[in-house]
Amino acid sequence: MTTTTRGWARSPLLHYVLRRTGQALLVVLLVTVVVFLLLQALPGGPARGVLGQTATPEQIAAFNAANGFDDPLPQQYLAFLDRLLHGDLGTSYVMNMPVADAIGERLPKTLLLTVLSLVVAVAVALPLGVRQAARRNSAFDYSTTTLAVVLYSTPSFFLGLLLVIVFSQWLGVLPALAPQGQTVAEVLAEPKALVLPVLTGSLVAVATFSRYARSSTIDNLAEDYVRTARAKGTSERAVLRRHVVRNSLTPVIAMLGYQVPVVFGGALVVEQLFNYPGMGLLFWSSAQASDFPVLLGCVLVIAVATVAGSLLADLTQAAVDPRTRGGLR
Amino acid sequence: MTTAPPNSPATLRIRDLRVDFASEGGTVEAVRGVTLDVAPGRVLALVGESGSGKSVTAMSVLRLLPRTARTTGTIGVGDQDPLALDAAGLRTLRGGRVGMVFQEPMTALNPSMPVGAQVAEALRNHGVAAAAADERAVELLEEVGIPDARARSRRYPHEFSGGQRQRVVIAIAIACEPELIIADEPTTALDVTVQAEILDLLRRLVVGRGAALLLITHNMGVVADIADEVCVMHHGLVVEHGPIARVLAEPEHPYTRRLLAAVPVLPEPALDAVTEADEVVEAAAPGEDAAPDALRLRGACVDYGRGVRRFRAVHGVDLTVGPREIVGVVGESGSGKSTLARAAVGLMPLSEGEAVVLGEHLRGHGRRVRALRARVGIVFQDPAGSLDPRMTVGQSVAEPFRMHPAVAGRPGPAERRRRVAELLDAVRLPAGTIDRFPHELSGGQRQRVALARALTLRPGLLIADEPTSALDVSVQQQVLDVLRDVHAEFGFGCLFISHDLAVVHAIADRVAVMRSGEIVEQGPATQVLVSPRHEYARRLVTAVPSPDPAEQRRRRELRLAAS
Repeated sequence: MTTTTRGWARSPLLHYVLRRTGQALLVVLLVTVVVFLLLQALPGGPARGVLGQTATPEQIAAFNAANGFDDPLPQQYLAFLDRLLHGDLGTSYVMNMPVADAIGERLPKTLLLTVLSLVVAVAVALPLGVRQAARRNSAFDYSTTTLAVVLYSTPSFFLGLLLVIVFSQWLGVLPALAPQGQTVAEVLAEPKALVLPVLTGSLVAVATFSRYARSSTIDNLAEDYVRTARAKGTSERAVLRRHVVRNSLTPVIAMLGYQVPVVFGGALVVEQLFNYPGMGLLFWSSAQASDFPVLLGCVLVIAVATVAGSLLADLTQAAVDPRTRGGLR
Repeated sequence: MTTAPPNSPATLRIRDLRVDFASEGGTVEAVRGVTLDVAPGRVLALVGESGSGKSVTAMSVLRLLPRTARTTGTIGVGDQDPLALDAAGLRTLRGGRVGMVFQEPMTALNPSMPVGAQVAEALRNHGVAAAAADERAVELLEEVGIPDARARSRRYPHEFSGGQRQRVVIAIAIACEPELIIADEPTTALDVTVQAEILDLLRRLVVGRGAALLLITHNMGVVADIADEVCVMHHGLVVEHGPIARVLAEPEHPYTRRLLAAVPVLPEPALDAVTEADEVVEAAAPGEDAAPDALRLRGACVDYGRGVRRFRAVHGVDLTVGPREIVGVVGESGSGKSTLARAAVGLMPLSEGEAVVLGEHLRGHGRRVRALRARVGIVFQDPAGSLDPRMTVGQSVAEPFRMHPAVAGRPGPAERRRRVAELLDAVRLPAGTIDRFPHELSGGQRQRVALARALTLRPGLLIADEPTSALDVSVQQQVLDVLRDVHAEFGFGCLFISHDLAVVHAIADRVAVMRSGEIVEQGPATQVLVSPRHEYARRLVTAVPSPDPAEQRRRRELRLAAS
């Protein structure tokens, strides 16, 4: 948008962006409070984690005094927040490394897997949903809708296992194990091994998104503006492409932003199933090992990503819709 | 009105058109053999009440009906029969030889496409190159009266008013110089002053381009304003057809006569006849009575929103509704009349000024105000939305007994049922209605149920917000008759909100004209609606089309002279 500074200052959209961003920051702050309080509630506190089960009460007292764990809670919280802002998420005494490093190593790989799954899901689901709507109540619509319902109600671990049985065991065309590389580049070097994890992650999403796209498109096809378009001699193809799709898919695409927790939940299952060393697997193994600092670090990252995702969704929608772009009421 | 060679070949010929819809309850015959012609340069009005088949007839010319429709008969547009065309042929006809204008300008345009592009699309669909189409779109927008058309053509529909959006829809319809324009209730959703402008525009286009216009409307004033001939439809049949002067002045068919008799008519405006006598009448109007006024607003202001985004919808309104008096409030959409009604029952808080209902201040949320509200009845525009679909009529009407047992005098079940039956009888509903559900009733019956419910606790003040606007004229007349009867029987003060000046004239003792949140003129109904003094009130009154063609010609001249 090329408005002047004065225009920006008055723009209701800017007002909305600032207000919405402010709300998002507040939520993130609340999340840090919750995570901090949970850390406090750990059995024996951090000292027990560092010094081990055999530490004497004296040793623990000395450790607490030395590390500021005797300070009043608000003060400790501020120190915690300060460390967070410097990228310090604490230390995992199970893995013997900083939590930030553990997450930092795994997060890009999870992002790769989930972004690939989402891209595949969107690329398949949106055209599918639009086509279902355009041929509503046809054999094509019925069969694909039925398939979508079946996929939608299949747990992803079961779906993953089925895919492994079919493509690895029977056909033997795809490996059942995800790439084991340490970096994203190493993972990408084994594209064949990525197919099944991505497929498992995207199939359920295809079912969800195509249902949204279908119903949103059906709603839009019943709008008066579609009749106007037809009455001026626009072909059915152009009615869909030029008029309906933009109006019907904008909310669906914006909805992706709200999918972060769903996507992470899916990653948990997929990574575990294909033994893919991402954040889902990290979360899983930390839960097994009672590695609370890592668990809470993951919670914090996911919470921030969730808030950021829904913020992005709202802002995308506001930016794309000319009614909000011009002036929000 | 318009002159065309009387024996030139018709642009549109419809012969024995029949349309039925397959539905779960069997086949519905919407159109049962319609035959009509529209000649070039002529305007044919297709009139009738909802469900008469007039829109279905119009839509079938461009085959815009849903797939469940089965159409037989022949339609001729020039030398083509749309019913026999393939998809490609139909596309050349749509927007090319036939342009269409729809009822709802607010939703008829694509919200995410600039208006210029929507006009240009009509041209590009019919073989005009992109650059030329864009250029021509700007010219068309200019032609239909969009100011600053070049810059505004890149704007989106929500940045235009309802009247301007309808101009854009018209620009789309005329883009390819069609020989036939079909306009389906083109002004029904618009304010009366805007309606007059749109009708002027359509007329100019027909005369200037020699196109034929098929106009669907339920408004006899619109017919008198721009049509040459009129077809009256009833239950899927054309019951009467002829030149407007004849049909409107000497209707032959009983249905046409009933229809015309039901149309409330505003008397001829007499803009010069402001006399001393009127002044005296106005001064004497707020009579000194023993009973307290039903409603007294003093300097009433109502705001929406807060801070920088605050919007003052009602601004310093002084208005009194005497006991047993009916006060009409008229004004165009956005003038603040509905907000005023909501403030008068305490649904919206006043930000300044005071509201006194039946002698008591309407302020706060205490028990006193609750009891006071029990003495105010309210009727809304849409009876389908304001009645609980899961309650029987009897339960709905009896609900105020439950809400305000003290005011109602704690009637027992038998007593309640007796009183509800009385109320239903008062609004002329058959006794059997009491155990039926809203969906089993017609619109007019539902509105009478809503009226009965408003009267359950014998209110001293009744607020009626556009109570007849969603109804057909004949039904509207019944509801107005019932309202007049119960007013005589129950004797309440009434604040009657409507955009329809003729309806207000038919029922109100006094009238207030609102504009932009302020009352610009108030006084006795006849004076304000026949010889208004305020410039805006005059504009409003002269914009109302009269169903008498001769009188309408006079009003048109008056209006054009004034502008």
